[in-house]
Amino acid sequence: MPHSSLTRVLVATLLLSAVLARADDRLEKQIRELNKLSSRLNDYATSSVANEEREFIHERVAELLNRARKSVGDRYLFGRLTSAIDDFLDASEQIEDAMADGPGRSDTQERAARELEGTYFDLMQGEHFARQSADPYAEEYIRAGKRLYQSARSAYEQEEYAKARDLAEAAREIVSGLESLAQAAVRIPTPPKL
Amino acid sequence: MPAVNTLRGQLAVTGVAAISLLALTAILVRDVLVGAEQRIVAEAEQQCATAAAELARQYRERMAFREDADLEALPLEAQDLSLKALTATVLRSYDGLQGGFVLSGRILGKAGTSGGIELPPLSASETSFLLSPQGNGANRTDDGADILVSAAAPDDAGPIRAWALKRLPNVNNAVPSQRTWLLGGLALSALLGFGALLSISLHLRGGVENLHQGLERLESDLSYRLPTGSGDLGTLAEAINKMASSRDALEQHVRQQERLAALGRVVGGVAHEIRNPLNSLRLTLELLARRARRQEGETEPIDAAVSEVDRLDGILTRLLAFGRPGADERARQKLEPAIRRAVGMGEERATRKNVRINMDLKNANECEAEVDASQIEQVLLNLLLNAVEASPEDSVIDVAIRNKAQNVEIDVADRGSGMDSAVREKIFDLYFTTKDTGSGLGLAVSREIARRHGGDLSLESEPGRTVFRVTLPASTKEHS
Repeated sequence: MPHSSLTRVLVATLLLSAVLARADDRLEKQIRELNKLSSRLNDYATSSVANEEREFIHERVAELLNRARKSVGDRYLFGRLTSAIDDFLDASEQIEDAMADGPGRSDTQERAARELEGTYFDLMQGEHFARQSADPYAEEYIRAGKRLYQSARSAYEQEEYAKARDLAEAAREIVSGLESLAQAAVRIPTPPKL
Repeated sequence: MPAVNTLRGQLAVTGVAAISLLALTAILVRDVLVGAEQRIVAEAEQQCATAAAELARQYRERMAFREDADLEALPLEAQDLSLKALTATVLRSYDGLQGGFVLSGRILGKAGTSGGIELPPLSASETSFLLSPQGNGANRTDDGADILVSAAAPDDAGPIRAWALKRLPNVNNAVPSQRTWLLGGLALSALLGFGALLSISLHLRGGVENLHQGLERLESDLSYRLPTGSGDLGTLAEAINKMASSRDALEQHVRQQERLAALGRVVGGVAHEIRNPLNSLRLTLELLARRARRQEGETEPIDAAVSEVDRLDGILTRLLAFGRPGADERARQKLEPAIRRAVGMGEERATRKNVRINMDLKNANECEAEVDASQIEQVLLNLLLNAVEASPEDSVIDVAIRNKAQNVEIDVADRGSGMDSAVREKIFDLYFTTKDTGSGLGLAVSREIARRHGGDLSLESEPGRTVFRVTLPASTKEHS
């Protein structure tokens, strides 16, 4: 084997090793992210704060985690699904915070009002995302978001502004998760072959 | 202003007013159209600016809420999906507007509906305009017939820029076209109106002139009639003609009355002078006849002479009726007896000709009038004798009486050959007669008597039938 050929083989082997190592890193990172999200789900699911919306969210998150595990090879899809899971878990956290509203928590009326206004606008957008997501539970997400908005509105009227803001944010997180699901459903056009 | 009293003056004033009105209308229409166009564009500019600002604000809020979201890191299709939802939600309140974002030289998140229907995609020139630096800030671009109004939020929000756009289709074409048509239509209608006004004025002037000339001629010639036509002037001319006819008839009647009165006075005098010698003559003839009978001589020539004297006396009696209309002995009474007496007197002559007089008096009991019975009897006898003369042998004369409206009508109808129009026109004229031995007094006198009673004597004639009708005012119950 000539000397130059040997060098080429050596370089190729090194490059392949680097690529494989990078792929391993990415896979490991994805697995870590999934584990982190699963852990959050377990924490919230075992929480003492029971709520219809939370139960619905936890069921959906469990399904989405399975779907994400199967799509680790598709970075875009994995990214959108984990983003959606993250948003839904944030919503669960916000609901838990709102339910556990203690005497020390407080917020201003103005901030709560602005949050509710933003939530209302997001829920309007949510209907567009529901149509685009092709998710069988899309309408359920919207209904859950609207129920949370109504609860937030009631809390606002009872001057429980911190609770109102938490519930409104939870509704917005649901819409944000639905948006990620709709983005996940987007078909990226395949580049043309030469 | 004496000039305005003439038709020409009025025409000039009206023409000036019409032209002024046209000019004023044209100016107003132009101002309204231009104002409407400017208002539409200004409203669209305001709407676009507000919508673009709202899009930018909602985008900033979205980014603030999703702190970790990096929209630009996503594929364009995903970015487009998210921004389209945002645009569609914002533009729900802006019907007819399109909006979206410009990011990295691309238009993303475009949405917009009009009446619930999605607006058509952007044209190449619209896309190019929105991507150009001109597309920043409120703009109005004339694109052929359309006006494109757009606005963009400032770039300070970051690399992304929100925009809103409204198409005003065919504004440039439609408005001037409408204006041209409208002004043309106004000018045409004004010209037509002016022409119509001129025509009406000239027609009116000609008509008035004709009436004026006609009236001048009528002053000297009552038989002249104005030319009639359609329209109000024609109606006016007809009314004048009718009035002239009435006046002509009235004058003729007055003249005839005057003539009859004068004649009556002359005839009365003459008849009185003649009657005395005629009576002497008759007495002498009767004496001669008596002597001739005693001597058994021939009396026939004397009887014939007596008969002629009687005829002359009858003529004198009728002539005197003109001279002495006088001694009316009117009383309210039924007319049946007068009819029966007249028929009785005329029956002998009818029988000689084998003519039967048929009386229809079934309504006679209801027919009453205030009359001098002897005069009415004279009228009816006269009519019956005329009818007998006009009737063919073996024919029938019908006499009937009835109430009609406020009158009593007595008809005397024969079955003769009838009268032509020339005879009918003159039949009541004094001295007009169709008989060789007639005096032309009978019908004239009869009509005069009827008229003195407030009635009339009229005639209907056709081949095979002639009816003379005496009309008298009926006595009403209040009179009784």
